Amino acid sequence: MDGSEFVERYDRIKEHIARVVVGQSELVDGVLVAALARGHVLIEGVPGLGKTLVARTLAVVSGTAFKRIQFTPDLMPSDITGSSVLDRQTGSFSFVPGPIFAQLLLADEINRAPAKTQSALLEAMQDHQVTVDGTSRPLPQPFVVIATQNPIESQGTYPLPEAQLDRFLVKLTVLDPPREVEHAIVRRHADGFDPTDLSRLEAAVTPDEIARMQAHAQSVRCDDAVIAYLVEVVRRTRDDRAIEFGASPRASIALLRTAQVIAASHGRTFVTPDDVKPMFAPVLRHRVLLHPDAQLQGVTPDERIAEIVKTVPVPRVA
Amino acid sequence: MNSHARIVRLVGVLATAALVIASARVARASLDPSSAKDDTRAAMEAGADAFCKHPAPLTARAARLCPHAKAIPGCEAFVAACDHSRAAAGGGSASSPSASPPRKDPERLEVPSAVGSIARALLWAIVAAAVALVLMAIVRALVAWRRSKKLGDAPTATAVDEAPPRDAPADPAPIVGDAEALLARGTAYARAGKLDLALHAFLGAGLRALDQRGAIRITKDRTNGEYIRVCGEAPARAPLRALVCEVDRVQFGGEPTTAERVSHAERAATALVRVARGVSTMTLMLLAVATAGSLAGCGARGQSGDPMAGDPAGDDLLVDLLRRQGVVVAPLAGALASLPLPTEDDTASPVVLVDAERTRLDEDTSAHLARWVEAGGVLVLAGNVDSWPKGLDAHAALASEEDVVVAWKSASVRSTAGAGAGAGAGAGSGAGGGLPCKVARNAALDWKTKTTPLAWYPHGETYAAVSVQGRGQVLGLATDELLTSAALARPGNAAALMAILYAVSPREIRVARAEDGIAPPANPVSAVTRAGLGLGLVHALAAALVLFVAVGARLVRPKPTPPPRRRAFVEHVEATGALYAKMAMAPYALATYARHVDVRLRARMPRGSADVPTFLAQRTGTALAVCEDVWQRARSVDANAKPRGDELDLLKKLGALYAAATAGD
Repeated sequence: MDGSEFVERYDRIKEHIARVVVGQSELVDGVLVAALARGHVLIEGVPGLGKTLVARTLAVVSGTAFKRIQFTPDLMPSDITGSSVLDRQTGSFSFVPGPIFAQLLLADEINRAPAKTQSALLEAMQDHQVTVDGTSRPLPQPFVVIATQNPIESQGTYPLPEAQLDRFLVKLTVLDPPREVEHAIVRRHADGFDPTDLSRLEAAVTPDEIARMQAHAQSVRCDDAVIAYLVEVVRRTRDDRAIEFGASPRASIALLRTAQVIAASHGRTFVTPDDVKPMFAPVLRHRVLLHPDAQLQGVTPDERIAEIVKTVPVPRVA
Repeated sequence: MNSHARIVRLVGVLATAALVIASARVARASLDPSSAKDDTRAAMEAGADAFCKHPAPLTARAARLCPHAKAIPGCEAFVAACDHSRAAAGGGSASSPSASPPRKDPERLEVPSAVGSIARALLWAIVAAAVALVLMAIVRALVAWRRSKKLGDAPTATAVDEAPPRDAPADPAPIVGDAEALLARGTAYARAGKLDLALHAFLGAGLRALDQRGAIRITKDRTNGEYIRVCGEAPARAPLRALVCEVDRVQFGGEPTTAERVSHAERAATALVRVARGVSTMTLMLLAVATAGSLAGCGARGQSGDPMAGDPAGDDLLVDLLRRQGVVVAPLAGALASLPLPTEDDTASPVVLVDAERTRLDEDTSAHLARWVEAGGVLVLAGNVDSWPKGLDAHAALASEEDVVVAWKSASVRSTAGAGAGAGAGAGSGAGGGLPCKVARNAALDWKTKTTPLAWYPHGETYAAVSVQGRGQVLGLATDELLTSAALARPGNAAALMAILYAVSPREIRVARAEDGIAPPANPVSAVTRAGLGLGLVHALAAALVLFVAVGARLVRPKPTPPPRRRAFVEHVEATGALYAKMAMAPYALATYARHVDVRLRARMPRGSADVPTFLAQRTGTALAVCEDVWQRARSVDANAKPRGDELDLLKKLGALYAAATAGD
């Protein structure tokens, strides 16, 4: 796949998604970038902003096998991964795969389940495999987890453990749509749009093409100056006085991957700082843990990240 | 004897002086009514008869001159125009056009009024645009100032010459110098074959140019793409994008720096750097063209292309005639209100001729003219008598006829003037003769002050007179028609006018223009107010204020709220200590601290143990007796007792023991 093919397919996917999802362009871009960077997405927002719809639409448009898990407080890990069940006829145990065996998994309201259940996704997200009863079973490719969660302040939620958060390539925040977008959404529903029925939406690409796009994105060149730039930003999150725990090297890798996809989506074969900069917040906001004093002062991770980015000079001259 | 001789000598000197003065006046008076007829004919032949042969559509003022038309030889076109005007006016009598003014010519009058509306709207648009531009400049300057203030001493821009280390991004050195200098440096690099440096110099030049124009603000944390997105000059985005694209391909894409690529970058950078200069040059050119056009428009009167050339009410014939009579004629250089007051030594100041029906005099101008005449100026006023300066005390009156006799004593002129000249000669000339003159309107002067009549109607009403005001003179004419081409062309009128003007002996005449009667404004605001735009100015200022409050204030970056100042722990301790000292609460402090130490130490002591001094001695290595003494005294102090004086010392010792005991935890 060359650059122009990548751009053509990328635009086609976005165009198909836009037939269903009105507005939320940043969310759509973020999800698409993360998926093409072989990453997983955590979407945070209050209910009713279209998080689930975006995930379902992407599944249809990308032609991938889609499964959805509604996380609840009584959900068990085996409900996700599957378990071995006794076959009365043969007298032996046979493995019944759970819903995690899909190409695009929607973990809806992931923070409504306790940490033990949430952690059932760890191995799958990192190694793309599931180990049950000592047997590791590979997951189908491509494998993308799109998890949604309500803001942590909501009642009946459990914060995700840091190890779990680090597995998500990006964390996207969904905000209320502007008035005109909301008007258009309601207008569409008044005209008979049914968000539960996506049968008329056709696939824009095949899973195979998704895999090829992922491979092409990974081949995009990244100059040492750009790498030094993004590494410097990540390292400064560890030295910031308002941040108790900074981002890990996995964050640097995530920045690189996402920047490569953005560069490829612009038809370029190399990464520029312009591709990296917009991804600092989505990649780092869930990977930094603010100091309690900073939290008490109302500082948000996005604000600290923005301040840190301002202190790092952009590589401009070779 | 001596006194007689002195008197005789004085009389002789005075007589000589009077003779010299008289001869000087005669020498200055170059006007010759006897030659006026020939001069008029010559002037008509030289082209001043355009109003006769090709009259412009008659204005109301020109139509009032129609009674002269048939009396002018070879003026058939003017006669036809008058007939046409009369017919268009609905059959009004040509002899009394003033009673029924001619209908407005649509091409001549209505189109200009429509153009006036458009011009007014255009003017408002220009004013609004100017206000918007000024406002925009203020807001942008304000925003830039706020940004600069916020950025403080942060280094800006990129380095051109030095490459930063590749392993970690260093702060780029600031772009120094002018954009033009960077551009020139880039060109020099390109010629020297240093293509990489040239490329980056061009990028620096482009960014610096935009920064200097306020389109972007160079900071170390902004990417090239952000510069493109935030660029305030929309036309500059395309070249900036092209420039950034070339640089990015080399810098981040690993592509080779080719001469073609550098050339592209140079073109883009040049477009960015020199666009402002091009715009300002174009603006200057437009201004120059507009100025030249307006200057060409001024002072072009009387030329072939002037629409007034064929106007029967114009003064072309008058100017030509006066010049042929040896008088220097020129338009007034400025407003009448700015005429410099003559000094006593100034004996050769020009006569100012004001057609009061064409030049409206405002109050300031009238007052200044009165002062100017008092100081020695010579003024010729014609028509619209009621608008003359109040100090002259002249009023308009009506005469019963249209025949005027002008006082003149030259026999030669009298002989050529023909019959009918002597009807009223005895009224004022006393010389037994006069020049006949025919006017279309029987308006007269009612001049209360002492005057010398120069022309009068048969029944004695004054048509023209001269009045001495202070050291100056005012020559007044009841109507302005003798100053018009149509009236002057009538046989006999030119000689009569020359005879009238002879009274002030002009060598040089300055003719006031229509706009010269308005005193120049003292400041731009009064100019706008006088132009009838005062209310508009108020509206524009109010709109500017509203725009600034609505938009400008919003564009200013909000000032970050400083975090609330928190008292440091040390400050807190010091304040508490100061309070204790002030309230003489040292025993209370010691008792409280001892209780605190007791709780904390017992939490650390082995289960079953309760001997704090022993625990302190073991942990700190201090003698048990010392620990027991300190502990006993600290625990036994009464919190409400009066201070003994050793509490603080004891508190320090206990604190030291406690710190040593818990140091390893």
